[in-house]
Amino acid sequence: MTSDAQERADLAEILGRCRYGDALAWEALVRQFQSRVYGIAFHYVGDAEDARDLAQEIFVRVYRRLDSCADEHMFLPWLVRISRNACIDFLRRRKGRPVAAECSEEDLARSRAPGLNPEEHCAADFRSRLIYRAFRRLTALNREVILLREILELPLEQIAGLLSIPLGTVKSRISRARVELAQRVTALGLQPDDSG
Amino acid sequence: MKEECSQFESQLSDLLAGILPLPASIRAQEHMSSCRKCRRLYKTAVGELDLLAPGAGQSLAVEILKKTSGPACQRAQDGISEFIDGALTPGDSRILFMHLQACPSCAEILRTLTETRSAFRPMARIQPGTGFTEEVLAATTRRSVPADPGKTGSRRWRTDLLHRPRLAWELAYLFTLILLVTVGNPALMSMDALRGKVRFAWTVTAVELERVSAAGLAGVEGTAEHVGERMGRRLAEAEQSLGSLWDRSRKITAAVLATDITPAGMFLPRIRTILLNIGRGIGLDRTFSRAMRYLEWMR
Repeated sequence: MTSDAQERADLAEILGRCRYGDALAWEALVRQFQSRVYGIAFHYVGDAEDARDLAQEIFVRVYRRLDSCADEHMFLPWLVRISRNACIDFLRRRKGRPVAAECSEEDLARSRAPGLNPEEHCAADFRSRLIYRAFRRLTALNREVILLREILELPLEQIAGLLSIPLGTVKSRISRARVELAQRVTALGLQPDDSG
Repeated sequence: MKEECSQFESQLSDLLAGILPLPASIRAQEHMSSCRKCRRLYKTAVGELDLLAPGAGQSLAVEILKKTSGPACQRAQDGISEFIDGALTPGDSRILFMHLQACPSCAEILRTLTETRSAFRPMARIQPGTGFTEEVLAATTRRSVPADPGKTGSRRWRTDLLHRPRLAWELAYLFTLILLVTVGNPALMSMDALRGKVRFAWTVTAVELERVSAAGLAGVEGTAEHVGERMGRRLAEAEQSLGSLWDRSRKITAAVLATDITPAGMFLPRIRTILLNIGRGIGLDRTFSRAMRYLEWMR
């Protein structure tokens, strides 16, 4: 059994147990997906503390609606949908409050890729910082499609379903968003040798 | 010389095709060595000489595009996106790369996007910090279920059912259903009559819940059917004593019994949904919330 298949089988088992109220399985589910949910919330709202509260709210919603998730194949898109809806609700509630435009060094450090040596860590941090700044400067529409496609790596069809728009529109939005991202990264001074 | 040049030009196609007779071919070669114009003509014909000055080809292409379809950068940028997604055919890729060789701004976009892709992956998972899991568990799990290897099969199923975190809510809804169809609208009754009827409804609920637990041995579907049948019979008995409430009861009962019940987890939430919808439809939603408060008061 491949690791993907094993992961799916594990998820199916965990979801099945969660539906019958197994607290241990629920804890396993939370631990498995908390970094992903927090990541989504953080990228939507741009503030670490708000994202933490929001991620907690998302898990409460997930807990209440677990019965409506058909199977483990659809769990991730379902989770992203719930997270997105919660984030949009939060942003509506927060309307009028100032939005944090930049993430802190601590927040960025949390997103470091594991298993890199110190030199690679520095390069990764430099790149991450530039790319994150470019990402935060995108328009809300473009930022969302970059989040869904590049960061969460959702298939185009799932993005179309999530945003309730045709596949062709998704492709053109992603194309526009990528061009804007590339232009902003270039403007912020990312050079090929910097990746190093 | 002009005659020789004219003869060379007339023989050029045969010379290129290799079908010019040998003596004529030798004369043509000798003429080329002495005539710069014909030598240049031959080199152009075999592709050894570009008639355009260096760099002039690119500007010519730009001029032609200006007068025809316009710059192809927009289409190229869509192509770059498709190329990154791995959705571009080899033929389209070749056409795209011909554009990229001539268009530095589009080439820069592709290079930047290719470099940034790997940096996005770690951004998908960000650790929320210590204590987050515990906070989520505290906000969701009301009662923990420690693993008990001694309990298997039907006992485990029953234990799991009874320890469901949402069971308290589900029981409350089930009780409210029975309360509504046997007692009616609590807000319209006197307190003494209400207490008596609530006790009766509570007894009915207790009996039904006992049977639910016992029927757990027969499996999930059996339990759901059992509950539906038992409630149906109880409601039929309620018809005689509750008179005018029968129409209301019948609507609720029909909706509950018509439900396609499969997994146990869907059963009680579905009743809740049905009740809420019916309650909204026939103006019982306020009664429903009052009944919930009475339920808490009785406990």
